[in-house]
Amino acid sequence: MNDLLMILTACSVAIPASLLGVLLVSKSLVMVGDAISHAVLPGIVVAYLLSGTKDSVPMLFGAAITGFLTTFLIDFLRKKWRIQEDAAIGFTFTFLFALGVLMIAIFAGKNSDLDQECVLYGDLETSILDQVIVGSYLYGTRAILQLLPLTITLLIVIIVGFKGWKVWAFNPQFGSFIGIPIQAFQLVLMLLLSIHAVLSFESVGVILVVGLLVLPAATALQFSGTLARTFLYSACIGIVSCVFGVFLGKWINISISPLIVCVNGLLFLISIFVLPFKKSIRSS
Amino acid sequence: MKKAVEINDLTVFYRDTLALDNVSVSINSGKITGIIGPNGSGKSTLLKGILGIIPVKKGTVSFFGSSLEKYRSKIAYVPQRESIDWDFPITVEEVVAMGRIRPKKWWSRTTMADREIVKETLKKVQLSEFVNRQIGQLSGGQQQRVFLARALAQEAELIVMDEPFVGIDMASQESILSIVQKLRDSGKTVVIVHHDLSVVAEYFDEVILLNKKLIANGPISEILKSENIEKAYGMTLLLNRK
Amino acid sequence: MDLSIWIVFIGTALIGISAALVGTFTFLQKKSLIGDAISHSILPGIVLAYMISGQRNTLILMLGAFFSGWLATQQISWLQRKTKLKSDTIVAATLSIFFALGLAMLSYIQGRPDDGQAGLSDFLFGKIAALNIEDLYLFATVSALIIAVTFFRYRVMFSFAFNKEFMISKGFSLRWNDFILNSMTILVVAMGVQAVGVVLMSALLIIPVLTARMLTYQLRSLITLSLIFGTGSSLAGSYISILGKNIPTGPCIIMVLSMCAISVALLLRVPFKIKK
Repeated sequence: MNDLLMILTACSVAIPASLLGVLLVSKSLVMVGDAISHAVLPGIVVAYLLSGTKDSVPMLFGAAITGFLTTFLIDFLRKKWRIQEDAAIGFTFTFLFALGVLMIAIFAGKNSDLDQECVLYGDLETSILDQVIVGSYLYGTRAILQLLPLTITLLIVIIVGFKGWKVWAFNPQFGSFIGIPIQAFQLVLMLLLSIHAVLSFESVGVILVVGLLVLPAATALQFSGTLARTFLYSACIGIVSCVFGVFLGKWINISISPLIVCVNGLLFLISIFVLPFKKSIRSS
Repeated sequence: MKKAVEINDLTVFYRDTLALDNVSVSINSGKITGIIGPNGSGKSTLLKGILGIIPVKKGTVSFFGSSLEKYRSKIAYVPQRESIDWDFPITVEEVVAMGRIRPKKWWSRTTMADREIVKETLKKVQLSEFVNRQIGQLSGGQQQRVFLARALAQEAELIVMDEPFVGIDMASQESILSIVQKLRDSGKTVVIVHHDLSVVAEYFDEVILLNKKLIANGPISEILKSENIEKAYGMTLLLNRK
Repeated sequence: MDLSIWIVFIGTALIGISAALVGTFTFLQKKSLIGDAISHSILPGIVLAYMISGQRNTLILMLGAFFSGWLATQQISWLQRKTKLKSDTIVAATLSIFFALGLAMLSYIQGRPDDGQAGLSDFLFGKIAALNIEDLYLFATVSALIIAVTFFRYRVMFSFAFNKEFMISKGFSLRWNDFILNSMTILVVAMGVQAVGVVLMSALLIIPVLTARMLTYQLRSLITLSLIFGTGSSLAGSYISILGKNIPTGPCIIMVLSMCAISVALLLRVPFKIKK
């Protein structure tokens, strides 16, 4: 039972991540995604300090605000200060992340739920203890119930705006020309990304998130021809890695969330050895 | 006529796509040779291929009968504008001084003699007053002249320029062309990649028409007459000529 | 002041100097995020070195760090040759694979009964107070090496960063240049993680030169200013973290650096004037 719950919890983090990852990879926004998952930390801490709980509503606001702040700051440094993109990203997320860690160290105290190390790698094992039980029925863990609405929203956003995403990723000039609000697509993506980063940081931590974002998508790209297939394969790879990761972790008795990313990484490397890279999805 | 560059069966791939297909052509020394072709026809690829900047699949190149490695110190390369980051923190003087770096003396600083040469060449391209400007602060034409000055500072026998006339004003174009002609008159060989046969074509002595394959080559007067241009360009000729 | 405080200050200063020097060139090469990837990637090397040697010896850990950092840069260039993936994807993929491996190994040795490894999690956020005098000799050697290489090669590295095609056409080797810069980055990172930790090490490479870049466009002043910012902030940051009781060194140094950058930005107010 616990294994199943653990797999479901891991999947509820990995599925939206692998879908978001496809969009990030196809638009070269991976490092921005990485930056956001680091930079939501001060938002989480402020929300936690103000509200005193790890309740999701204030945290979501905190995340949304810091997520936007990150993209805004990167853009500002690039356009106003003409600073090259890599340095702008590097500055923004290290600054915000350091701020978050310092706030934890100074304000959160020793016996709080937030501590520096769990921020780094999360703890899937304890996050499944946070179960939602109504009556005598187990409905799932809190992580599942929080991430499920996000996954559904994400699916709707992707399916409804599928053509738009395609244009956004591969031909933005044409998109603005025919009147698709390219900027709005980007903002929606960043918003969903920030929310995902907040909801998943307890289970996998802020740094491993980037692995869940980029690895399934990069693997899927090795052998899929169309954007739709890439989404599908990416999600499947995410799920498979979670299953293997959980069993592997049980077997050798080590922390599960890094293992899931390791399995993902292994699949990625295998895919490069085994499968020739098909024409990029651009050509479809 | 002495051959400055001889290219045999040069074939270049960019990953899986063919960029240059079995090009065999030679460039005469002491002339201004234009390499002309539409966008994506492999002109820059040809330059980069013969200079060893990108790997070639097949083919050989010789310079005045010797190999690239032996002749390298006598070649000056002026890259395309787009490949340069104009916000890079470098001054005009430092760009030109790059021409004096030698692989065999990688540890050395800029010597007094080098500084003299840098000063001289900057005077030749009429940029003496901009020595300490950051390159992004110059106009397009001035920037191109800085790179020409770097090539001059190399004191090379063979000067290779990739699209030097893109995005520059008339005055700079005139000035670059007059320097190029002076170089030719003093016996140097100049190779210029250019995207069409308008305006500057009359300054070329010889032309190589390229569209992934060699279309034609020879003195400019012959090439202009022939129907080769249509073969190289198709409809794009009209577009490029405006 | 007693000896241990001096060790901390000299150690931090050496880290600040080397990071600012190497960071200037990775910034100019637009490879700042490779620095980030390397700093995450050295974690498995550190843990492995600890597992094999069974002790927290700085030299051994640095060797481990160097090995896995080097492996990571090899993986990056291998993926760049072998796939059509864009470079940010490749960097992020490498970073996450190595970091996850490192965390998995860390959790494996933490599960073991012989509990000598508590010190290893210091590498995540850095703890400068753990330095001893032997470490200092090692740091001094590595810094001297980095300073010497920079002194003799800065012209070549600078020119490569500006216009690599030109340098190749002159017969310089791109792979050799990349190798030297990567090795210097790995060395600096392996040294700096002891003070700021793997997570924030890239900031020590990026922020000093970024701040200096706002103030100047000349290479000499760029290097000088980033040395000043890098060293000064490292010293100030580690001083604050020693004063405060429960303040991790890494985030503290990065905050001081960021504050420098932000105040420079605010003081100048007008983003740099580029006359056209």
